[in-house]
Amino acid sequence: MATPAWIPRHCLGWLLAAQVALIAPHVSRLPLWISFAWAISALWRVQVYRGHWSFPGKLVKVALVCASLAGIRFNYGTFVGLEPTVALLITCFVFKLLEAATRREAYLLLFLGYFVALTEFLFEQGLGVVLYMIVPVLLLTAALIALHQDEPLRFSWQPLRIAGVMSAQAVPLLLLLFLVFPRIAPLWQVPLPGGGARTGMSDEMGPGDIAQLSQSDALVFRAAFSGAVPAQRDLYWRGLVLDKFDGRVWRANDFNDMPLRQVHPSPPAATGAALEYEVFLEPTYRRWLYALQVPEAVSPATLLTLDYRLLAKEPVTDKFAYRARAYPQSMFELELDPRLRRSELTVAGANNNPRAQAWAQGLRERFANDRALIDFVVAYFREQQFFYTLQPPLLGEHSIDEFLFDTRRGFCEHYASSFVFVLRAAGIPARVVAGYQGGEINPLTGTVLVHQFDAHAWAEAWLEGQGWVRFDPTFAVAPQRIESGLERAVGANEFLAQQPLSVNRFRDVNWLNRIRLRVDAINYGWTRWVVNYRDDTQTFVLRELLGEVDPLRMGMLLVGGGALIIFAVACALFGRRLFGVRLAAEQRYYARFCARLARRGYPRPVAMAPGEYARWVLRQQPQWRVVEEITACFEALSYRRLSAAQREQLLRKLKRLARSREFA
Amino acid sequence: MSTLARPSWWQQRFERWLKRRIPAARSVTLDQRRIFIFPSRAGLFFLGALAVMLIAAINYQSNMAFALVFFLFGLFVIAILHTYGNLSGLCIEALRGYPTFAGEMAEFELQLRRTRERGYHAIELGWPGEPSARLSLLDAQVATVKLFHRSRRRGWLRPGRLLVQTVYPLGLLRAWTWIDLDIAALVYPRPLLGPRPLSEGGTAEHGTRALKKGSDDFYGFRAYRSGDNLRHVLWRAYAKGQPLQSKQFAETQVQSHWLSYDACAGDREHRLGVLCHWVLELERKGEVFGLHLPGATLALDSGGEQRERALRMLALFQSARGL
Repeated sequence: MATPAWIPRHCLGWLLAAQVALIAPHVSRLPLWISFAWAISALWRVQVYRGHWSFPGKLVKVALVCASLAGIRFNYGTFVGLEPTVALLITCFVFKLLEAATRREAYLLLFLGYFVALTEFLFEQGLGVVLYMIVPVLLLTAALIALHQDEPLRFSWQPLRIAGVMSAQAVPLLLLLFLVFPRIAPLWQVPLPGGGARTGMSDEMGPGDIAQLSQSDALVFRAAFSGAVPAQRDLYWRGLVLDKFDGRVWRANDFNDMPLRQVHPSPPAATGAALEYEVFLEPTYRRWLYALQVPEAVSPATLLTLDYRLLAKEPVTDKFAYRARAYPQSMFELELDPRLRRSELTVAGANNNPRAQAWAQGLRERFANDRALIDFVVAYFREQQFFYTLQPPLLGEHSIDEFLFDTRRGFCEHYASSFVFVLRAAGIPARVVAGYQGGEINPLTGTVLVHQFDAHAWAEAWLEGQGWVRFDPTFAVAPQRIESGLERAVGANEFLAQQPLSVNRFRDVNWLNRIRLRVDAINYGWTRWVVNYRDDTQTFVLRELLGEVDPLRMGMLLVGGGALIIFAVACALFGRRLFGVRLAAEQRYYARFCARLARRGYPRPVAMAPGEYARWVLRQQPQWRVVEEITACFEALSYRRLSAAQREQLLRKLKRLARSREFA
Repeated sequence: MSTLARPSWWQQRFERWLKRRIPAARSVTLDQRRIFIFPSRAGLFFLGALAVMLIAAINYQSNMAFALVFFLFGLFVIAILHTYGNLSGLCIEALRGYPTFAGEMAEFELQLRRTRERGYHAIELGWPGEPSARLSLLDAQVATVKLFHRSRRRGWLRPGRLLVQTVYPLGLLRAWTWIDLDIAALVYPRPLLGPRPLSEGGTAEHGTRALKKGSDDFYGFRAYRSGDNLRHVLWRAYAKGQPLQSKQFAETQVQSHWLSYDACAGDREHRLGVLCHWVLELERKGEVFGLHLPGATLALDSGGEQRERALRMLALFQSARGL
């Protein structure tokens, strides 16, 4: 049918608003020129809307599309990948609005808009972002509604109001589907978000790297223990083992990422008491996970590596939850692979930090026992004038020599690095371990919060009959760091010095701290129960609801719940008229009266007004005076303005008269 | 719908079922017995887009993406009720159909009335293949809508089932109904040029009648009546702001014409067309005329009412679709 196929003007207004709200959160991830292109085409569209400019010509459109394709290619180097795809999608969205004129194009534009909204959730799923995304989705829906309304004379909020009402009615269905829908494994491999430049642990460590990282107050992960939380000094979250050293920078060895079971089909079982915990990791865009020693992989998406670390099977591009088990008393790698042994012993080049090497060789001659040698080095750190500081002096070529014997001011990486170097020079297998140490317990949730400023580096040495043993030279220098965290160790002036407004700097302000912990508790709940609602959590919740999880019960919940929700909405919408058109009371009474007259042989002809009908009946049956009265009553109820009391009174009268025996 | 020459078996069944379910009436109030609902083309496209979004949510394992897809699906489901609600309770009443000449568009007037508080948005009405009308019923209780239907043959034009549909609010679903409104318009024959079909001795019979309105001698004014010859309107007085007046002329020799079916040449429809033309022509000149059809006669008279009577006779003459 020929309907006016043009987009109504008020719909365009809603569309433009929706576009602003949709693209805003993407802006930081997009190349700058897309924002420019967006601003210009939005301006252009507004001018077309106001009738000042005309739509772009075909040539201009082709040029714009080609230019933006080239731009995306230039910025990302490829069209494959999540970021270029989203950039492409948003450029389409921007230019489509510029040329959109017909209703069909508006549909395309709006559906594209919903898709752009979805892509936001492939990057971020935090509570704040989700709450924000309600705005563009509502605006898009308002635009969809406005598309089908007549142009109002003045601006009206009505489309948004209807969108709000409909959305509120749709939310119960969303919850039901969210609860029940099975979370299937990915159907095929998709390009994951790249993450860009993010602060976080990297797989190489030079002097000052961890000090830099500890300037950030970003959350790294939350850990929830099923039992009591271990003491802070025991919370060594191992992330990376760095065993390649070039004289300045420590690097991870890719070989260590191999799954343990691939090399040793049946590794020796861990012994001692086990700690059970679950970690909710923020996206790191890396594969390594953080685990307490000695870990055991529990979640299927994780694996245990050759050097007893936990590794995710895919890079963690989204909030990621994994269960793990730790055996703090257990020993590991009692047999050291000879090949590994060589690499752990490597000290790159003889002309590398000669003073430290000479010192180590001297120690070797003094101590035949490895353990005694290590104890001596630890005591050396404790007894000499070493300082723990976030702002160490810059070190030159032989960084370890300078640190050990000259500056003696450093952060954990300096201590770990020189400690391991000395041990290796003395012939003891040793390596640097990077990760996080400690964490803050949120009393509201009982979870441990680990921030970037908890980043730490320590050492592991291999001893005959004990395997790898943890040593933390930082503990010798600054025991407060290990026992109560960085803030106590460096003082309020150095702690988060580059982030003066961070809420973490104001932990002493009681009410602020309470709010911070409350917000964290909400975010934890969100991550724990909503963002990670799948597998175990889903099974657990459904079991609580249904008692037993089987397809029949799930189907019944889905169908029954869905029907109930739809029925409730229908009741709200149609009320008592749900089962047929319900007439006003006076019309019902009058219809009853007409039906009685019809039975007496005086049916009311179609389209005869009540007054005329009454006169017609009275001409033939003058004795039925009540007909006149009923008609007067009905007409007053239908056409006159009455107060509620008058109306009530007249209705009662009409009801009584319509039952009158006079003409029956 | 009825364009096919021979409706197939199932079409007849459907027609019968529809007739039982939605019988013809002067006035129809839409309720759940009459309203059908199905995704529109945009709605099917939307569902397709949702499927793609669901795959994205699965592949990226993003629970919030799942939530958005479920929300949009919920919106779609809720829209079923809202779209249905935008037709339910609407009362459509047939007012009248205006006469027209075959081949032209017949105009029908329908009245839309709401039986509840909430308004109706963007209701489309139309007969299949004919231009449709779109209107909303927001502030007013009642709205009148004009619809047009092509007329092909003379006689009564019954436009058949009227499609009433809406896609409001989201455009993803289409709710519609086919209502059989008891409405008809009279279609006059198409006027055809031809020689004046006068029956013999027509002028003498009533020639001696007393003064008859004509166009020879002016004898007075009277208030304008519709159908008066526009050339006799006293425009000067009208320009001064006085009401429309017509000049009256006395006529001593009455010009009365008998138009006769038998005096025409050609087949039945052609003859009726020629007669129609002359009825219009004579009335325009303000002359007196009568009509002889086989089996029916219209007495001599003049003016607009006479024209209507004559045209009606011509329209319904031996019409299969007559009353």
